[in-house]
Amino acid sequence: MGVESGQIRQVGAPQRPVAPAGNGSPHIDLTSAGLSGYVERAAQLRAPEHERFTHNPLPIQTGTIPPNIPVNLQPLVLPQHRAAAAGEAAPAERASAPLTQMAPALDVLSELAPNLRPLINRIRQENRMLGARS
Amino acid sequence: MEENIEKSALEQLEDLLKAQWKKSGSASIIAARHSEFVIEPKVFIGNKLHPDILKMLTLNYLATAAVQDSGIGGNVEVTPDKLVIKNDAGKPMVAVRDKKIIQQYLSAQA
Repeated sequence: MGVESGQIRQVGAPQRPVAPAGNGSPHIDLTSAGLSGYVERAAQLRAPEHERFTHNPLPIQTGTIPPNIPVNLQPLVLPQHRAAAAGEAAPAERASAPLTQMAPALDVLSELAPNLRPLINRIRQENRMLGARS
Repeated sequence: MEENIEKSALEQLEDLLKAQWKKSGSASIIAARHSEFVIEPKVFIGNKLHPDILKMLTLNYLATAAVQDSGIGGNVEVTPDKLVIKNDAGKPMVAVRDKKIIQQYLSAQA
């Protein structure tokens, strides 16, 4: 059967002769190609759940990412990486380390809780040592 | 397993203050089915004390200062609107504007 120019041909689709349906009634394809299709369908339905309909692709669109979604391809830099690069202690370590900026709070604490003064003096001393080292 | 790492002075101070804060009854506890979570305040927020910790310490200080022979009452300057706690050099350290706390201090002194 020749294909004239301008026609659309289905590539790969089985060429099944179909009996013409009269008055719009449903018809059954009784040709060997048609029957083999029914056999194949029945085999699929008998197959386990996960093996059925494997020819149907999942409705996932695999295309390009829409332009309105920003794509950040920069490597994830965590605070500890940044601190390590700068030669500082990681935030978790620094949180427990004495900070010189605590001085005003320590002054208030020293005034309100005189019994804590020895401990506060030790913190101040550690601060001074840290300051001298850096 | 016993923890052998000695805590720094700052960690010890924070532990003491947190223990005091829990004892003062301000701790909130979230009780789950098999666990309990105790919400602890951060003692230092930048260069300031946590407001809850500051309030607890101020109340303790005023309770002690209100006693005539405590020897620390001289650092408190009080007017009906404002109460100021100064250090030994006379520098204001804490200002209280809570009328209830001021009234409590004044009535304890009387």
